[in-house]
Amino acid sequence: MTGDEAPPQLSRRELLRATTAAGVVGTGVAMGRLGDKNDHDTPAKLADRAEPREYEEFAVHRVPEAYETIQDAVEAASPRDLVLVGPGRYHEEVTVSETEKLTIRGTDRNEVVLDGEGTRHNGITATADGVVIENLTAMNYTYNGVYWTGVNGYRGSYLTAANNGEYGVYAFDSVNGLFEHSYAAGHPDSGFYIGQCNPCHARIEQVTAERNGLGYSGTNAGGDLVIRNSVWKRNMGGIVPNTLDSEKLAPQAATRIENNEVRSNNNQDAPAKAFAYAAYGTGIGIAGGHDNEVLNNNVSNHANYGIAAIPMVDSSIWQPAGNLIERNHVQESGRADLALGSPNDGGNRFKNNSVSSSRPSWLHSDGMLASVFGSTGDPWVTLSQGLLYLQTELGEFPHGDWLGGPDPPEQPSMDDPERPPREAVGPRGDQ
Amino acid sequence: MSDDSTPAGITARLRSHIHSRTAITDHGYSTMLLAIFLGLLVGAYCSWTVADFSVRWPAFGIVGLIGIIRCYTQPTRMAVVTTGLYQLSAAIAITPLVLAGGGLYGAYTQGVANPWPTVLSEAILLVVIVFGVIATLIAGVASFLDHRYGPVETK
Repeated sequence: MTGDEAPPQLSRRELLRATTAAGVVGTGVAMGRLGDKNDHDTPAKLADRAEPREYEEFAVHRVPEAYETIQDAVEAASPRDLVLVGPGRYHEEVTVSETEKLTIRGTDRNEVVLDGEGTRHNGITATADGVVIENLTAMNYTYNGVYWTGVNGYRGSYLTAANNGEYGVYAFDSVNGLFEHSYAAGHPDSGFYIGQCNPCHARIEQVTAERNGLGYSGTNAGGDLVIRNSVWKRNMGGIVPNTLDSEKLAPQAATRIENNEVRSNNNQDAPAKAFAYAAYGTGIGIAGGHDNEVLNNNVSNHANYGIAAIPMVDSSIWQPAGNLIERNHVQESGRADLALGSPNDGGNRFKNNSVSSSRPSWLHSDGMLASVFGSTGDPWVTLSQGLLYLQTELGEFPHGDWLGGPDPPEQPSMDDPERPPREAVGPRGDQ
Repeated sequence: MSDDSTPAGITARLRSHIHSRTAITDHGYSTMLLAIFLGLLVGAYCSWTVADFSVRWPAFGIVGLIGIIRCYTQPTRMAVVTTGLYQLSAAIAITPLVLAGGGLYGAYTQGVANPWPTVLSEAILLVVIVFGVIATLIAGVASFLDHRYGPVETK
């Protein structure tokens, strides 16, 4: 996949064609399987990682003082150099394909704006290892704001991505990465995306996603992947790790989602593609994923489900299995605070959550039903989500437009834009 | 007096009371169990569908009790069966409304400004058709039994 190619959509359409099948399958396997299988690999193994180290030798390439465009500065830079971009609106696409460990940094996050004007594809595309993008805004691109693909080592810090046609901050087929202190709004697919990696060795921390189709989407991504201490609000759907046949490494597995604030993801005015609308009104939705951990999240005000694990129908039917949902505080959900769809592949555990409702009912009780039926799911959950899929297949779902959305609110810039560049991520403890 | 306090005695008195109030034909235990099963089946189905409204257990109790009474008060075993099937058919037929209603209820309670586009769609019409077909099939079986073995007498 290159930066000029659209992210895969075809099989998602295929997925939608199978919508009715999802409901039928779910209903047909109404009783699912009884009992638990507890042979799943949770909790996920997480590697310790040291702080990124500053580079000792580097050159600074200033834009617009020394170079007219950011791309010109990138072409002139060597590995470990810093491209420091001053305030202005830059109408260009930037590609970093050869210069490893390059840092592109704005001097002011809110004043350094890459603008695709609704015609250019990607704000910044990095296909070289270890590239760091910091302290700037990318908006109005037809595909992605900031985009890494096929790299080992990446970091996006203090980024604002707004009103791009696919994703805001996006890493595909990449490992050893970090998104932090960033904001994404107005994307019809998702604000933040990490896809096709396992183990990913990646973190998403202290970010905010609002008014996107999905706040986070992670197709076939997991393994030492953590999403934590972040805010996901007013998207069409919240945090949605998912399995699709269209990308390698299915099924999605072993993502830890912890200490997040997830609220009011029912926003019908958010731009959304069909895939995103299918998660409408759900805070955290595990779509066909395995061995994920959803821990200590605060989830509220969702029209459908607070936290749900549901099957995903693509070329294959991917059933959620071995997921651990524990110590979450879920409230004010329209249909149910917790939900487990049918069919599922067992081993899904719901423990010590603070909730008032669930589908099936035994997810939030320790009584006889829970011990007898274990992680048997409820086909109603699959049916209700299938109804949303069906709506998208018929092309009649409510959503807003990505282009022309409101400008993003001012966001805090990094403390010292002149500081030396650093590694994308520090060395892992298990290396 | 001691016989009346046994489960059999209590059941006999209950049946006698029902018979005196409904003037229906006395049913054997197997027919009574069949009526209970069919009533609870409809109650369980309705309980499952309305759980979005947080009335799962009241629905099970109320619909189940009404279902049992409706079935038990039929004059013949076959009428018990067909009544149970008609009740199940009706419950299945209204499932899409409950499904859509759950979405509306959830959206309204969470402050969604205009929840109607999420339910008023061609999609729900398709679901209505699917469940309508299933309900019609079940009602058709009941109707066949009804005509094959005689009309259902209702009180």
